[in-house]
Amino acid sequence: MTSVTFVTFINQFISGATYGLVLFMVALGLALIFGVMSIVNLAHGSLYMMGAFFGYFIWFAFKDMHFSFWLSVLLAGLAVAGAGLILEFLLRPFYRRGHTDQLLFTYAFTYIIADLVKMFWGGRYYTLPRPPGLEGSLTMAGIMLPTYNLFIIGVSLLICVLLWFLLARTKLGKIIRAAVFDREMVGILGIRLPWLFAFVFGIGAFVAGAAGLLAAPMGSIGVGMDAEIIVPVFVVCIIGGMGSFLGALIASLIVGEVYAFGILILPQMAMAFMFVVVIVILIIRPQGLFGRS
Amino acid sequence: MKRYFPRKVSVWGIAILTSWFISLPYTQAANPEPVKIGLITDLTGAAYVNARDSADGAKLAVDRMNAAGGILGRKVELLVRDSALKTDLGVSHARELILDKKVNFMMGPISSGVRLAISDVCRTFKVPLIDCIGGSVSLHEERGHDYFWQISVSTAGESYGAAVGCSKFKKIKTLATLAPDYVWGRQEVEGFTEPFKKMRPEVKVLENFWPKLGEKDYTPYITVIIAKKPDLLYSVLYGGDWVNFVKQAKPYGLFEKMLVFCFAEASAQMALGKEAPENTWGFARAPAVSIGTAEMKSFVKEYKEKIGRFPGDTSVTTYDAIYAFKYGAEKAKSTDGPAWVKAMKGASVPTLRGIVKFRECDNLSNSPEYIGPMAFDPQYGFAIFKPAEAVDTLPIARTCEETMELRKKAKK
Repeated sequence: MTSVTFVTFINQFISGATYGLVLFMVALGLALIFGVMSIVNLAHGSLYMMGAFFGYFIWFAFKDMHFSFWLSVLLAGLAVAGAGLILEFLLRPFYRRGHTDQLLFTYAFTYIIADLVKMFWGGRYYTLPRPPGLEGSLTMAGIMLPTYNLFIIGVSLLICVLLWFLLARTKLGKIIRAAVFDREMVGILGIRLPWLFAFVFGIGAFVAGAAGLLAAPMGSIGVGMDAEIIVPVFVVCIIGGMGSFLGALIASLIVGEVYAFGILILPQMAMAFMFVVVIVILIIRPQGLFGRS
Repeated sequence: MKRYFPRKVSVWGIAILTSWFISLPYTQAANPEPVKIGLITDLTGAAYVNARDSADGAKLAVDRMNAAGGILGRKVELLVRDSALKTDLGVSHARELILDKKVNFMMGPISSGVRLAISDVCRTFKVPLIDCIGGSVSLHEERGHDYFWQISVSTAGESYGAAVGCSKFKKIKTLATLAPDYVWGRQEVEGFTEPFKKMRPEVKVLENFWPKLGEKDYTPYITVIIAKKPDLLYSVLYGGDWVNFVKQAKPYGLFEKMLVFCFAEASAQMALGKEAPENTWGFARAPAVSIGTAEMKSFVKEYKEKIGRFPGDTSVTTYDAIYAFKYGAEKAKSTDGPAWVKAMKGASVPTLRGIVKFRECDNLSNSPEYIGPMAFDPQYGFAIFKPAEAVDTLPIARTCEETMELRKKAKK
């Protein structure tokens, strides 16, 4: 076991928070969609992957411009939101069917999207440099902190605040929250549920797509990144409680930190620690930390 | 009865048909059956890049060969199948290629597990299979047979080459290892640490790190590796995993804090481009642009022109495998499996990497592992070996007696 100094502790905490908050950006769309529409969308990881691919090629087209990265984040998010709306439209016949049919449908979509991505962009890896100004590290009290990781933490928390504002402080947010509790009643009150569902799905897809590109400078873009993200994202949703926005935030931080400190304490068991947490929470609170029973 | 054909027409018709029938064997001799080579590879799934490179190398070999007259004057036909990392699919393709398409030779997929299954099919039908990827030693040891040939280094040979490279750094007192957590990663680390401990018994292994295959976030590993302060990090991460690791490790200054000895396959280097780290040494099976033979230079040039990118390691080894088929067939003056095997026993075959000799007892080749310092080269746009040193990997291989003993035990 590695001796835990203050520097090591902070380093692990920051890396755990970065990982957890990337998961959060993907998980919140999944949680929102499940909360409002009761749809378990296995293709959510594919939206994340599409965001990375769309964004890369948008960035590549404008790479000589100073703002190319930020433009590609926005356009990738919008493009994936568009793809999400198509997926939502195709999902409509499954709203009244059970979760098994929804799972099979969205699972099939993961393969279709993966093959389409491979057909258009091949199976190679693409890499995206960090945007200007965020390439290096900050050194504080002997701790080296990559600026891009700090940026990811900041942007995730900003998305969190914006979504909280939307849900808690706007009329649309009140409708969405009402739909989480009783969507039939919301429909009876004259709210057009198909529009509401499309909006929620679009928001979830937009954030997942933007997250795909935001995470890309820390790694690579390639076929398979959908499958890699979807399992920990589901872990986050289960721990937080399916459909809970706050639960997704807390759970993503728990998952990130458990994983980071697991590697520090017992690297061979780091992955297992994450699932031990899932098991413990499922035994104590089967509905998750903030889920409704 | 009315005559439908005049007598003259009938006589001429019979004469033409008879002459055609008599000349049939000669016509066939003028247009002989092509020599068929089957390539089963994993074009779907995580091994796509290596499989694609393998298929592209094979196509270029066949094009060049046909332009130069083929094999024994016969045209060469390449049949590519996708086993998608699935054993049942690989076996089914092998049977189809052998029984339906009547292939003369076979080359096997990226996955060692699928290759083992295909190897058994090839043994049954006496079709030579050249392993152009390398992998588990069991392929040529306990599961080896006369129809299985290896033209790339095995996992043990590869990690031995890396151990030889690492042992050269006399100042190293501690090391850590980093490998994907599955059979291949574990074999690579085991194959490295065992000979390395013998070469440098004073070096202490601080920790073995096993991130999962396809890990997205290496930062928790990076910070712990830095905290452990090893003198050397031995990494067998590959493909997108290595790209992710490098991009996450650079802002932490990991590459300035220790020497990194890494698996340096070309595809990951190409993906990294200018982002390739300094202060690294690499090991690879066939780094095309760093091997200086005249044949390799001509191959790299033509590959780049025709395929549009530089060749990967598997492009080279698959190309070499096809030319080994040609060499054996011309030596045996036949494409018949048993005759080819007999002719190739103990043969020294010219390849892009130089002469490769097959061991008579188990068809294991003395293909080298390449090691060397890595540096970005603007001519190629990615990091290459500067220079690449070939390490003989046969010293780590089991002796012929040991291999035969293993095969006997496996049969029991």
